[in-house]
Amino acid sequence: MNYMPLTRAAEILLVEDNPSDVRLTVEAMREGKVLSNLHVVGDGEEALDFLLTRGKHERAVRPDLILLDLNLPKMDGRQVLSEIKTRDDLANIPVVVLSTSSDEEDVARSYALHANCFISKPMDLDEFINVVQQIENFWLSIVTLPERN
Amino acid sequence: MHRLLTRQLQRHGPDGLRVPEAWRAFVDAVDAAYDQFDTDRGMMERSLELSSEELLQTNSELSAVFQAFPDLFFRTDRGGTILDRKGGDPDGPYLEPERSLRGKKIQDVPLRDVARKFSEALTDVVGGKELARIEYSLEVGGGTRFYEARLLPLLSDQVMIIVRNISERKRAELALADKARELERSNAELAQFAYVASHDLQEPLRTVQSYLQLIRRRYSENLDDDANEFIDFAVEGAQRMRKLINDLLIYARVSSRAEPHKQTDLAEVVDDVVASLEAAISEGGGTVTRGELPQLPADAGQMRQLFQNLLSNALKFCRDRTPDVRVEAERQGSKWVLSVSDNGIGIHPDYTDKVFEIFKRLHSKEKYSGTGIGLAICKKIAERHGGQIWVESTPGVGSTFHIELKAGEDEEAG
Repeated sequence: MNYMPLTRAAEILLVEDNPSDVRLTVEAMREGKVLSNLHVVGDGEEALDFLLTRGKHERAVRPDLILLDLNLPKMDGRQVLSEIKTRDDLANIPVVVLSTSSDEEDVARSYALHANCFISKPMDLDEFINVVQQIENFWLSIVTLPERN
Repeated sequence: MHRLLTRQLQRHGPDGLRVPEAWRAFVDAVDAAYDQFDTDRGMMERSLELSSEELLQTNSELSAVFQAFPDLFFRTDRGGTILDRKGGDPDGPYLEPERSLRGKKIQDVPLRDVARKFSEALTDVVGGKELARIEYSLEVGGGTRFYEARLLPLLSDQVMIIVRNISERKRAELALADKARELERSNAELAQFAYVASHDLQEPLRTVQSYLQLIRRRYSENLDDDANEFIDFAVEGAQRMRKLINDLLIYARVSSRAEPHKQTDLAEVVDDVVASLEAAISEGGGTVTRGELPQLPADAGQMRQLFQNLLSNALKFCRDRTPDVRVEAERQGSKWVLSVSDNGIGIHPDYTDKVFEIFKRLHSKEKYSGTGIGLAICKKIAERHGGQIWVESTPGVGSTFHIELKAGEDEEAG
């Protein structure tokens, strides 16, 4: 195995408005093995503030991975995705779209907007935990990520 | 030459004519009158003698026909100057309200839009076109009346203009178009509603299920058997609700995700479905066979869904018998009647309509699983193809589901 794991804790930005999902993700990561710092924002505008270190997120760190819910208040996930992927300074951050929807149009649209992958949130808790851990493992342990600038 | 005129009149006889017999009678009468005229002329040419009495007779026959007909007939010269006017309501505002146009030019109607249409049509007909047709409307007494005018070339550089009041037909067309738009809108709203409801309902349901499972995962050792059993029931309820929501979404998609109809080989569709059900078929030791099946214009994906539902039902509702399922097709006039017969438990006659209702189940879910959406989807698919579905059944012996679908242009069983 020729992994190139991060030598520091990974920074993950979770864009999710539903507190129960945030908590579930936290619980799932707690059970996982990857060392990571989870940052949570509740809507699309705040997500961009975080990524562009604006307003109260002035001192935000650049995330290694973004977990993005599609249905968000104010600016929704599709707009956030489009914004990230059309900006030179953000486009290279992998975005995992996590959605309750498994609607074909949502899937197609997400990939068209250059999402790095689309995952339907499983209903079942065990599956959900498994999915979150797989995401962490794949994107933060297996994948070689670009250098941070 | 007159044959040309009467042929034109027959060929261009207006659709949806209120009194088609009268139209035909008119054309026949014109024909007969001209025949008479021809005969007369033949005699005339031979004898070089003109029978003015017979010509008068012909004339009077023709004007009787014109008077009897509800349409208004104008004769104009090449320039559009009205030579005479026959038939119709003499006071009818065919060209403009409350004014007569006798002696004026047909393209000099004060209404600019109508005048332009007449002018263009006249140019076409004078230029050699066999028939020009225009439609226009007039505001009369606070209402709109619609007219259709046909312009035909006559002999000796004249033009015949036939004006018909088509207000009733036009109003019916407009009302129909309105209804169609309204229906389309409400269908779209319904599809949107089902979609949104399904998606937005999933979210809280997932929360309920996940946290119940998290309680079980973290605390089941600290809970007694009753508490654990209650959690299991709650989780099952949530799972079942999720299935219902998903099925509702599938049901809504029969309308919202419909594909345009293409020539579809049902034999291929059924063979595919049978292949996909292979596990279920061999598990029960049953057989699924088919006769010759046609090609017909359909949404192939929906046909697959239809047979998937019917065949898996046929395999499911067989209790301890070995399922024996047969798919057939029979041509009946312009339709195909497909049938799926099984030797299963059958359906009581009281329920042969109810089984097609959404989420309608006849058995406990312990006995036969499923939400009860399958046949409702089949019904919607059949109806969206302009057809219908029904079942004939003998309890304990078996059921036959019939699906009537429109045959295409000239397809044979293949």
